[in-house]
Formats: sequence, C-alpha cells, structure tokens
Amino acid sequence: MNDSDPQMTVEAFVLRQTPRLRGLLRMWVRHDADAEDLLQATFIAYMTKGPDPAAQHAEYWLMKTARNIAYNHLRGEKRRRQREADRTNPAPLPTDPSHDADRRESLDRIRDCLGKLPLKLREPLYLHVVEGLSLRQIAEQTDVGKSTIASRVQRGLVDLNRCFQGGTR
Amino acid sequence: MSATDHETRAARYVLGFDDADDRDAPVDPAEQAAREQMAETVDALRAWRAQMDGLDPPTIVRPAPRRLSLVRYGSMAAAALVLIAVGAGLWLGSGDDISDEVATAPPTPQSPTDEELRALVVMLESKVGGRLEGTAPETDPPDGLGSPPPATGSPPDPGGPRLGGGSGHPQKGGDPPKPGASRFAAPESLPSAWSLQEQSEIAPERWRLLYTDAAGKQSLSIIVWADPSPDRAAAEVGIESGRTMIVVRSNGLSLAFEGAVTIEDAAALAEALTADAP
Repeated sequence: MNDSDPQMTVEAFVLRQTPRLRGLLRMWVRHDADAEDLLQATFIAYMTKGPDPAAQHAEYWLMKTARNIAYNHLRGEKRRRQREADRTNPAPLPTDPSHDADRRESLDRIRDCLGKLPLKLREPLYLHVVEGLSLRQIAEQTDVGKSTIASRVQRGLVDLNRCFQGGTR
Repeated sequence: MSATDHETRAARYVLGFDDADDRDAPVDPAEQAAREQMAETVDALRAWRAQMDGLDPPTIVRPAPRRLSLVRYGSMAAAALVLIAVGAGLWLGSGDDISDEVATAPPTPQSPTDEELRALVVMLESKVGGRLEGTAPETDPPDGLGSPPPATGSPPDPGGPRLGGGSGHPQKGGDPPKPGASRFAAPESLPSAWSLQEQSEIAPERWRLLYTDAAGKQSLSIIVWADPSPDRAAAEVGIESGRTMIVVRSNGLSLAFEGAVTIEDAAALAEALTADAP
C-alpha cells in the first residue's frame, strides 16, 4: 500500500498519512475532538512500535492500529457518556472564506448523516467509497464476509443518500 | 418499480455493483434522478474527506523513554519508589491488625533501605511543599492485602507520610483510622490557578473532576478512584503514551491527571487531593 520511499522519515510519513487517518477516525468516532486525540494516540503508537515508514505494510499497520484505537474508544464511550454530554457541539471545522454557505452546509450535513449511520454500515461504506478499498480488503480488515460487506456498502449508501437528500431516515 | 427499487438500483450503479450488461440499457427518469442524487451524495462524502487535507497536522510529541523521564522528574520517581516500597509491605513498623501476608512479605532485592526511604520521603515532601498524605477506610476494618480499600478519608496521620497499601492500619508513628471520617472532597483552590469547575461521581467510588486554568482555555480532567489492587505498586508516576497522563496511586486512591498539566502541578494536585478533607 505504501509507495515505498526508503528515505522517508517518520515525520514525513506521519504528515502524509494525517488527512487519511483523520477522516477515518472522524468517521469511526463521529467526534472531531476525540478523533484528534486518537490521531495523536495512533501516531504515538506508531512511533513507539510501528514499522519503518518505507515498509510495505506501514500504511496498513497505521490504519489497523487507528481502527483498534477507535474501537477501544467506542467501547469506552458508554463510560464517558457524561463527559460527552458536556460537549454540546463538535469542534467547528476551520473556516475557509472561499467556501460558500451552500458548500459549508453540504459538508456539515454529510458529516451528520454519516454519523447517523450505524458503524456496521458506516465503516464499509466509507472504506469503499472514500478510501477506495476493495470489498475483499474490507472483508479482510473487518473479518466480515465479502458479500455481507457489499450488502452493507449498498445499504449504507442508500441510507446516507436518503438522509443527505433530505429524507427521513 | 417502486422508489425503493430505484434507490437500490441507483446505488448499485453508482457503486459499480450492477451488471456491466445493464449499463447501456435505457433507464427511466426516476431512476436517472436517483442515480444523480446518489452520485451527489458520494461526491459530498468525498468532499468532506478532502477537507481533511487542509487541516493542520497534529503536533506529535515523541514519547520520552521512561528512564529519561524518571531522571528528569527525579522527585516524582522518588515518590513512586516510596509508594511501591510501602505497597510491598516494607513500611517501617507494623500494626496489630496487619495481615501475616503483609508482615511476612519478603523484601524484594530492589527494595530501598529505611534510610533511603526516609531520604526519598524528604525529597517528595520538599517537592510538593507538604506531606503527600493518603486516606484510610471510613468504617471497614482493615484486613490487609487483597481487599479493595474504600476511597474515604480519615484525618491525617501525624506520624508521617502514609502511602500505599490501602489497609488504613496505623503505620509507624501514625494513628489508626477514625470511623466516620469525611469522604473524599476536591479542594476548591489548587496551585497554578487551576479551579474546580465540576465534580461528579461517575461510578461508585469513582469521581471525575474538571478543572480549568485561570484563563479558562485549558482544562484538566482528573479521575479519582479507589484502587482495588493494594498489592500492586502503590504508586505510579509516569507519562502514558498518547497524551500527558500522570497516574498517582496512594493508599487506596488513584488519581489520573490528563490534559495540560505539568509534573509539578500533578504533584501538588495529588498532595491537595489526597490530603484529608477538612
């Protein structure tokens, strides 16, 4: 997965992987600030015990580790419910003057709709549509059958579309 | 064909799950509209992901080797040694109610001597500007190792620092715990201008405290809980990976400091939090 660059430093690798991991973590945990914390934790784990950035499996390792960290976080979410209740709104995304209001609203809405999908639909849909992973790769990563993954991706898109297009999901 | 059928077929089309032979087949307007909506949704999802590229990279702080941390924060390491030693049953003197298991526990080869313990206690006290004082059981009689110590307070032990173990029995020069002593209470005023914003019991014998700094920009979350493993190292001070987290365990109470907190602040906070409530 990693287009290997034997000279790549850990820092450069981390910077390059940041947007992808950030998107994945936000998809998993549905909370921007928590995702940032988990992003940090992922990179710390990588720096502590991750493979060389030039290794073929470095990206896979990072993604798998991020997923484990996110799932651990989700498992602990119940215990943190009280804290979560205190955070009324997720951190606002950086403002970009070039973005018009429609685009802003569209991004907010797709984020909210994605967050409403159950994880079992959200994850395969995101991995397939956004990350470009094949159904087989997702099946391997999630230990779920390929046909089930295909079904979930399809159902996830239908549900996401209903929500995004103003349906009553 | 129902709207649901159109949606399903449109999703399969956009995802590329449909049969290639059907691609060129004519579609009715309803399904064509569904395809366009579906594609728009996918585009929006990808656009949401694309905006991550413009966000600031995270600030990565490499985890420091533990050995270096201990050297750097020597006094806190000393505190850990003191508390670990106490937790191992090596505290000077013994009480009538101490269990045989504790009383006969063999010293580990790394155990500090009595003189070293005293020196470490002095170092710790000078660091926190007072005595790091544990709390003792409220009503339960001490029963030695193996029983979870309740996180309730007792008056300070005038005989000296009493850390670890959780049995609450009188240590050298100390007084026995007094029934009905006050429960854990978070001090309102803490060093470095941290102020208590919220205190909540998030589980039995488990509290979460939320502090903010004077400017209200930084928050510090502290979890305090009764340590169920008194035979474990009675104190740990360290930085856990991922974020600044300092864990201090003392005599039945554990405190995890998480957030923008320095070692020095944590030491002072630990002192304040584990001191008996007025």
